[in-house]
Amino acid sequence: MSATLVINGKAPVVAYAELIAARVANSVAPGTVDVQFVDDKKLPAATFNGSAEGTFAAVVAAAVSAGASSLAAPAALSAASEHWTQVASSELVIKNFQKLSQSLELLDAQLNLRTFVLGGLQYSAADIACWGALRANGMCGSIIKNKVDVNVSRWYTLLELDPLFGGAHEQLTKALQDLKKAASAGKKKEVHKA
Amino acid sequence: MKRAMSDLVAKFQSLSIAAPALSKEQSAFSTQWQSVLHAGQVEQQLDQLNLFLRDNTFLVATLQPTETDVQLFEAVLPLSKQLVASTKDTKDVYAKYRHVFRWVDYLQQLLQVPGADQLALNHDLELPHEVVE
Repeated sequence: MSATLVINGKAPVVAYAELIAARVANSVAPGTVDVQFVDDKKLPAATFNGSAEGTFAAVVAAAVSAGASSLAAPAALSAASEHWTQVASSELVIKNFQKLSQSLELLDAQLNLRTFVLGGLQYSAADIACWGALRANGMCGSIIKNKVDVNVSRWYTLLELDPLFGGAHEQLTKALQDLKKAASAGKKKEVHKA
Repeated sequence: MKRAMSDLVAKFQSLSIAAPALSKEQSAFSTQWQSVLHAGQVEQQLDQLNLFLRDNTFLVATLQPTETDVQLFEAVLPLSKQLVASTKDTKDVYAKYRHVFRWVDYLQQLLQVPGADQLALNHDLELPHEVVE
């Protein structure tokens, strides 16, 4: 039975992390997560099987049980994983430049001698959480481009090369265009009917 | 030395990391680093290597390491160990060559270099924030 993730393209913080985790799950086992899109400011950023709570952890769990075992942090790093996932959802999404700069500097320090957020040879859920938060934060584009935190810029650029990360925005944009088209087609029909 | 190098390349090939199709720019990077290696200029170019790895995770600007990374790694690993061993100011060396060390650490893990031959790295050493001019 497949799970359903609904992403709200009009949310103040678009749930890129959830979307990417679902893309990873589906790349390992197609059909693991049915990803749907809505564009309604009033709805939550994401719901997973109808719930808006703990969506990222739930998608990651679905991905891990589908076989994306590298997303799960090794036991020794589970506290660090939780820490960075928490930082991502609370601190990397904010738009206050000064506060955001401080958080990015901490991520930069973590990446001084690590290729990925938790170290190791592959990205984990912590990378997806942080990358997704930065992707969703309009403040970050120029900060990353200008190499203010050069390790963050290098890490971000690497993951963007991965189609599962880099292609998430295109998937979202295309889905939102389709929604718009469907909506305007619906409206025309109504007008036509009347 | 020669033998060890082919061992590492063989190890890398056994990992079945698909060699990506390289863009023109990536091919140029590959050629550039290969020529540094073959000219015996790795030590002289270590600062350049660090600068390149500041902005790129791997030497050919790919998503995953390539054989060029492995070949250069063979030469850079002993140099990195010397750098750390020959100073008391570890922090200074780390700060100067942080990107090389990060890359060396990735490859020594990937290639399962025996612990005694590895560059021992303190991942949590606090380094000054790097400012890009």
